[in-house]
Amino acid sequence: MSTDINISISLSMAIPLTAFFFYCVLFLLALKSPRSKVARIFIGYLVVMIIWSFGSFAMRADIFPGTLVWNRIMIFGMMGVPFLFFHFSQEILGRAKLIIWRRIGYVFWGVLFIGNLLGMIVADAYMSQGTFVYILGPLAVPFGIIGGGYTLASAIFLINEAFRNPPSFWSNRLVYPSIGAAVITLGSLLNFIPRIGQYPIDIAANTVNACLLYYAIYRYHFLNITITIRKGLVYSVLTALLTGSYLLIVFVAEHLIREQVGYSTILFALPVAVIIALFFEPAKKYLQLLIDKFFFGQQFGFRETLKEFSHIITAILDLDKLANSTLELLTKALQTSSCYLFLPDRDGNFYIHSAYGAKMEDLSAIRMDKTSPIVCCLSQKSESILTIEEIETRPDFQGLWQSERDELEEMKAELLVGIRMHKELLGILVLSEKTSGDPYSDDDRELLLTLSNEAAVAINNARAYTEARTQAVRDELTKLFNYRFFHEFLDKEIARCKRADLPCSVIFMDLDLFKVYNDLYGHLVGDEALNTIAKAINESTRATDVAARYGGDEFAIILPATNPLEAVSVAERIRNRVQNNFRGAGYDSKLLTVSLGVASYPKHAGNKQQLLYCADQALYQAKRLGRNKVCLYTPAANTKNISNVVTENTLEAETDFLRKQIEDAYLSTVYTLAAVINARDNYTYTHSKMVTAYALALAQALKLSEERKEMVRLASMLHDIGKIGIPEYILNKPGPLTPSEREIVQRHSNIAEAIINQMPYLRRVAPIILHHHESFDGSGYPNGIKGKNIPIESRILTIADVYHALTSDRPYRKAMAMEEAISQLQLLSGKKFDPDLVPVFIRLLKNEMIEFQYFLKTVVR
Amino acid sequence: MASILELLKEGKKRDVWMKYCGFIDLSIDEFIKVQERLLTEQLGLLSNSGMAKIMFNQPIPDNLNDFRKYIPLTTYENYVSFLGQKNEDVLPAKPQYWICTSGKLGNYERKWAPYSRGMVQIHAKNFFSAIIFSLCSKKYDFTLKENYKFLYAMAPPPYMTGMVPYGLMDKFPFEYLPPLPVAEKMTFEERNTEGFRLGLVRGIDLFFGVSSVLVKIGEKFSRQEFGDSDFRRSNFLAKLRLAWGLAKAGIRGRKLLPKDVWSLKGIICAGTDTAFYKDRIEYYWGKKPIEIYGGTEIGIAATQTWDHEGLILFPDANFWEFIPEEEYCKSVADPGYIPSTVLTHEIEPGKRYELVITNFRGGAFIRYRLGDFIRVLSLRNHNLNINLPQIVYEDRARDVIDIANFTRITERTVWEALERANITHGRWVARKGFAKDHPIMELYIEIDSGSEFQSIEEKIHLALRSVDSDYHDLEDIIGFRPLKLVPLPEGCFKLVMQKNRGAGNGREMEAITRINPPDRIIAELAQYSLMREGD
Repeated sequence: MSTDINISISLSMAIPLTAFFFYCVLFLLALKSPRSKVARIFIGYLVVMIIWSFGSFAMRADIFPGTLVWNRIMIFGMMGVPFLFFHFSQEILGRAKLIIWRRIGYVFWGVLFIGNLLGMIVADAYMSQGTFVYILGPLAVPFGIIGGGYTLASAIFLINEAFRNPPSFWSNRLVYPSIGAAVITLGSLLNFIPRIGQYPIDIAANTVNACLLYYAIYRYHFLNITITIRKGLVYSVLTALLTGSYLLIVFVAEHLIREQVGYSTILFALPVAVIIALFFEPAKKYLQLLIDKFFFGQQFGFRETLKEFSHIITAILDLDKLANSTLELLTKALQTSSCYLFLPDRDGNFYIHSAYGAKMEDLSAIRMDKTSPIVCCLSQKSESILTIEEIETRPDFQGLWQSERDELEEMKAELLVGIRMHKELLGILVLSEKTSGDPYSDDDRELLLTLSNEAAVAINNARAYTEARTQAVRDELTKLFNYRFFHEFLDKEIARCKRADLPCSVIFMDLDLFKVYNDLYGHLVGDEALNTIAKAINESTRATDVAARYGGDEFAIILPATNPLEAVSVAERIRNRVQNNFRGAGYDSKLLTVSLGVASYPKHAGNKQQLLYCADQALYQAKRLGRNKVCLYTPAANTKNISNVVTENTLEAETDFLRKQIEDAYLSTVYTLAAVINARDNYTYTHSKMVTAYALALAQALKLSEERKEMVRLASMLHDIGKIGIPEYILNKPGPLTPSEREIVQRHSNIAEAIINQMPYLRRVAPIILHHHESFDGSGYPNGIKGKNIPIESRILTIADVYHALTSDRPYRKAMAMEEAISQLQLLSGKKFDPDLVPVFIRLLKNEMIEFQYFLKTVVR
Repeated sequence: MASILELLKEGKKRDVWMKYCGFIDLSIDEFIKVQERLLTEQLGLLSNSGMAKIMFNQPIPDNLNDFRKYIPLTTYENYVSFLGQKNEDVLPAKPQYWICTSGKLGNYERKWAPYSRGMVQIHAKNFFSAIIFSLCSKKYDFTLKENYKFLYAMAPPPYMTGMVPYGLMDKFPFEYLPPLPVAEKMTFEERNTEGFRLGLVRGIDLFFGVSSVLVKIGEKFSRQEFGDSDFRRSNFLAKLRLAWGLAKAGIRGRKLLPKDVWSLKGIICAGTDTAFYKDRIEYYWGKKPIEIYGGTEIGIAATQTWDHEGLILFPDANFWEFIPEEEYCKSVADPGYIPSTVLTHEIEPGKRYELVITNFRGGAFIRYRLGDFIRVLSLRNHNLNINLPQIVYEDRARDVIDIANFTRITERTVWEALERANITHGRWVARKGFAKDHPIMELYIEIDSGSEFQSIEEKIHLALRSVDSDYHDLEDIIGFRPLKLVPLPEGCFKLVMQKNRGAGNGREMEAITRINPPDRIIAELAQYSLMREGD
């Protein structure tokens, strides 16, 4: 019996002592917290809790000056709790209107304090045979009602705030303190039942409250108080407790056996100790596990996460899969509502590559510019993690754009983690708020840092792999995507647009006279031009757009999430850039223009085939309207649709188009023939160009009509085409020709005529070419006609041809100076040359030299 | 992100400080970096707007150098076609509010400025910075409580000052005296009267208004004009407050002053005259005011810190360019001359500059010549270890006389008044000056030497009251006559001009405006004054 009493006494003192110890530690922690009004009231609350607990202990221990005095002190502490807790809750919730109740509460406290001193709450209190006995006074019940009412009201307010929807800043932080308040209320009210009140139930409730406060501080940094619990310390405390308990049990067991059996030997005590130890070992392990789960459960999860992540990064090389798996893992491990991975594009700006817990379609437009303070900050070695608070607070983030702020808000971003390798920022992880609304803990950050370091290596590898894989879908020459990839991507994109109800546009682009250009300058130069065009496309499109080389000189661009008008503006940008790039780089920019056709899903087409058809039709329309144009698809542009609605304008446009087509073909032929000459003999090609220049100058001086001048130009350009049939050794023979060789050479006029006559649109220049070696006095070839019977264009061409031949280096002689050549012209005037034309030509050469040179340059260019 | 209130309750005062006042810790390079980045955003927004095409008919450059090279300086005239019509379609961003001036400047009925959501947020944030500076005595150390009684004695919407409380609403819960919906229906005088009446009952923690109003109330107290009748008319709480004030004043052995009745935690004042009044405000109210600088086109642009010395420009308010005074003078002398500008890191201490601004966050004004002049005090604040230029705001516009932030007198106002006064006069110039206690307009005018100067001054004063309602209010509300006539003999201007031509300053002399001419000219004219010492 006496043992029971002793144990009961020990317990009733141990509980308040534990509570006292707990509140003292809480008090010290709170003193370290940043001082705010709320923190100060909380400290006051802890002080009265300490008074209450210590009063209870001292009262039960019956230490000097006696139980009654300590009871009065304990009651003083107990009385303060409801009012201070009410004040604390009102301050947190900002309920300024309830200030009057706060004041009334403090008045009550004062009144009750006096009542307490006068013994009106507890009339008497003493210890009788180890049992605490007390007699309640007349104010005890009012105090219970008022105090209970205040505490309960505070608890309700706080619980209401904690479970508010949408959650406020204080949600979660308040759950545990408010439950604690409810527990205290219950514990205190039980004091009105003396049978229960003799035990320190109220103090036990206070101890529970203290534990809940610890947890709120540990988990949520309640009132910005932080506790760092070292695992080793917890284990040490556990070992000390277990060892103490073990020794106590062994001691009690040995004591009981001795009392019951009546004797004791070390041989007997030893097996008892071993048996108890056998029970204790599993108990210790189990307790350690419980501690691990309670305090370090998160780290367990993290270790698992890291293990899983290590597995992922070694198993996956595909960047998309890697990103998705990483985000999924992070989202689950950290309980975030969503998670995003930003990767840099070719310009160094960051775009959302993958998202988990959010729809990519809604966020695809989000970008982080390379100049963004976030990117700059995370690129620095010292800063790996940024919180949204830092971004909102730090002055160096004032340069953040409004759109960037809105995007962070849209993502509900809480943490931004830089994924860095060496000095390069490979990616940015953005984590939104946790599903629980809790802030990210230091452990979370630690995990993120470890993960980001590992992710850097993995992303780098995956990027290299992706780059290699990309080679397979790229056009070798232009490095744009190839035809196959274009179609695959467009399939996916249209499916995505259907799902997300988004527009998508396609641009078809074709070089207007590329065939001619290629023929004229050769394929190598043509390839360079194609590269220049690819560059212009890349410069004019976003990283998310897909540009492909569709065919030889055809390109196609997919513009995701782009409406028709935006697509037209992109197309116009490409057209301008192509023009500027070619002009700037000294290309033949007249030939290198592009026509572009634009069509959009779903406005113009409901599926891929229709979309491509519409874009093609729009391109056709652009060509038809005169090239170097951008056309948006309209049903009217579809030839099928306009066939029934032919208007004067459309007829005119059609005629114009046909004429242009003929011109194109015609021009193409001339350039092709010129290219043929060039390919065979560079002198002949240069000679043809110079002769064209001289002949045109003379034709202009003679005021020939535009049409005849055009004939002179074409004939001059092609006059030596017949040399195609002359053996190369004769053409390039250094010495004089033999009569038979001369005869062969003289055939070139007839050959030229025969070639030209094969082409209907050039047929009218054939006679000019045929007679350009006739002499004015009839001594020329092939027909020996003379005087004005020779076409004027031929007579012009003769002078130009001979003059340039005389002033050029030939295999058989050196070039003559201008004066010498002029003398030759004068000498042969009236014989080989038309005497009326020679003086005009000489005047051109001599008197109008500057203008003539300028003219020559223009024509040659 | 937690609200200011939540942060303060958590004791994270330093976080609140960093967010609102942390910009003072920027270096000048960081300041420029913020400016350039926000300008890049603005250029992007502008290039997608119709406004750029209307105004410049050329693409908007995408970098600072080209922007300054190719985009010309603008005035309101460049914007009037679409801002006057409130044409939102051409703007870089959708406006949340349209703000206007009182329209007294230049030829426009009103100048309108659109404010996007982002602009409202930033300028409200900047105003909040000024509130914190007004509440602190050292770095990080301020006390701000919810439901602080805020006597907000400034113009209601659609004026800029009226927009600010709406921007502050989601930032911090103040109790406005009088409440905003009530205040917006009141005249300036009613708002102030009702504000102070409510302040007597409920107390005042913060004041934002015109400094001359505080001086006027202080003077009323010191002249014991706040007497028995006011006391009798007030309610119980007001009587209690007054009695407590009287007791405090009695203990100190002096007359009742506003600081005995109210203990203001912070005072914010706008306008050039704040510096002039700040010591008297401290005497009457127990606290020096924080001066802020702002306007319709520029929002809340600059603030003083807790040493009440130089103003610091906010880096995120606008892109700041400065026309040096000599460049300004050249542009006045030759209207075809395009003055060059310098940036914040290029301004020099002691020099005066005209401000040129480009709005951020979708605002409309681009390289806009504000007409406001600032003077650079120093490139850093040594006492507070702030490494940003310290400026003072000198004039609203060189061709406008701003008295006590109440009235803006233009050349046209003076001409109309002289016409209405029906007096015979010759040439004249006017400038802002300071009498013993107050800012005034000094009118240097050629009149007949035999005239009765005081009667002419009275006539002109009455005429000014009738042509300018703000001039009228100034005398009625603040209670002082803001005109000083300096009579000059006929031919005086001619003499000065001849003298200047002789000294090679003829061109400058001819280009002198009638409003706020250079001090040198005033000094020369003053030598001919017909007024004798003591008149």
